[in-house]
Amino acid sequence: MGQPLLFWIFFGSGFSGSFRPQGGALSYPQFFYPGILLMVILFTALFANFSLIEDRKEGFLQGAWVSPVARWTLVFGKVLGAATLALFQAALFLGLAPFVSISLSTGVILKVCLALACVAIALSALGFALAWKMDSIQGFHAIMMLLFLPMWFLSGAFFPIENVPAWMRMLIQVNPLTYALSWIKHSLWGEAAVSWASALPMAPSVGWSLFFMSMAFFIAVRRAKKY
Amino acid sequence: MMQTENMIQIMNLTHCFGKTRVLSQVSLEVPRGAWFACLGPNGSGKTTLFKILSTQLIPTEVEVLWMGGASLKNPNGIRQKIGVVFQHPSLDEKLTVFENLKYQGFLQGLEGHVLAVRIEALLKRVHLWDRKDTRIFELSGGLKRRCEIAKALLHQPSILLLDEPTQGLDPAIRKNIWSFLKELQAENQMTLLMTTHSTQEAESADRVIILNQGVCVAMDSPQNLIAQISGDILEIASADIEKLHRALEQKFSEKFEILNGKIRIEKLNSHQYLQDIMKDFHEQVSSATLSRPTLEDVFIQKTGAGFNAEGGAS
Repeated sequence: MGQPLLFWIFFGSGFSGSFRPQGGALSYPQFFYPGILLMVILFTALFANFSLIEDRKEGFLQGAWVSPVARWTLVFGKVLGAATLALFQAALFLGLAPFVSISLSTGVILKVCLALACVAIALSALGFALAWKMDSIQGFHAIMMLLFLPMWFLSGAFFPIENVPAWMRMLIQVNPLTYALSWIKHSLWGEAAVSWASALPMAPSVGWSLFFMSMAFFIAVRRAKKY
Repeated sequence: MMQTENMIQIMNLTHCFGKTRVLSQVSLEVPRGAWFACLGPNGSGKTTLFKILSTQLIPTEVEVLWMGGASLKNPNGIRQKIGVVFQHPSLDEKLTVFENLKYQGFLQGLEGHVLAVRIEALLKRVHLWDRKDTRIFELSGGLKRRCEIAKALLHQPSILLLDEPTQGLDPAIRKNIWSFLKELQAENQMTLLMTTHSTQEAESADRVIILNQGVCVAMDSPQNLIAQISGDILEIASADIEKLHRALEQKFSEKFEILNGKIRIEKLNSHQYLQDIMKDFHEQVSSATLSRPTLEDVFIQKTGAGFNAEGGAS
């Protein structure tokens, strides 16, 4: 929670002078806001799976694993647990929206929470799949810094994704977080997000996000079957 | 079901991690109500065997694996029959004793009144009922282990698997847990299989399998195994062990082995050797022990290697 908040305050204030939004609709702290929501989800959902590394070897999970229940329910339980935690933290962050003049109606809050919940489940499942075979927390940190942080940078969280070099454009397009973030932006601002906040169109954003969520969960269950 | 029915049956089990073979052609049968100990030093493969039996690990190769009437193809069938006590207790430290058991009950498909009654009966049996609302992190190692055992017994399994159940506990608590397990075995006809690296503990089991580097080197009752060793064990220590060794071999015109820095003599008339040695070499001998053979000596006899009894974690 702390790191995203600091990012938001420092980058938000630092760039607000030089940032020229499309159509002049959004200030930088506003543009950056959905990206910070995504970061809260990303960090919490992934870090919540840290415990898995030790738990599996000498903790609580050993007992659960030798009980006669379907493997996917155990994975689902763990993933939902981490996702709930992430969603809860992001919801707290939603309370800060009025500070940057983003108005939230009940409908918008529900829509944003739905998007955040799906993204949280996807990232938590991904965290599960990664942590499962890992034997040290250090390894998990390395993946966080080398894979997920760059993915977050290239999702449209930090800068608009229109005027970038072609190679970067390609990375942005294959990045699952781009679609997740677009969905969050859509639920905040509706179709206007496409022209204001460099979001992708609604249908592919939601579609691909749900696809990545199912894939992540499928991979997590598959990996968990082999102890 | 018949009394002599095998609760655990394994034929030719082999397991590899990558290219390393950690278990090789292990076979064993454990009849209902038996106490079976799997003895071996660290790295002998006993923890891997435990993981396979507790369905945490799928063996690379096995001809037959039956546990409580369920085969390897039906791991959930096995899981209903086994209770598992882990070396590092699988308890949620932040939950209370009661909550931990309740959660385990849910995993086993128990709920409501039935579950509450069972938890109470079990916690009373392991003398933890008055601590039921204590969080796990506040409990001592011995109490945690008792809670872990209660948790493993909640669904009334017919087989109890224990991985080094008394590791890291002080002698009084060890004894306490021991007698509780004995009671379980006697009263409920429960089949117990435990791994241990303590030869002393293994001696109180009905049957012992000795593993060394993934291979079964012996399997029988501890009494029969010990009876295979003829006579007593004489161990001689000396400041200059090489010199004494040469002198002894010369005097008796036979070969003696040195193990763990001591000359080791295993003969029917070991006491006679002791007398002769003390008569002629008492100045060179710093200590001499004559003892009845133990499972440790069986291990040494079978493998030719020393047994690092109280080693680290396995």
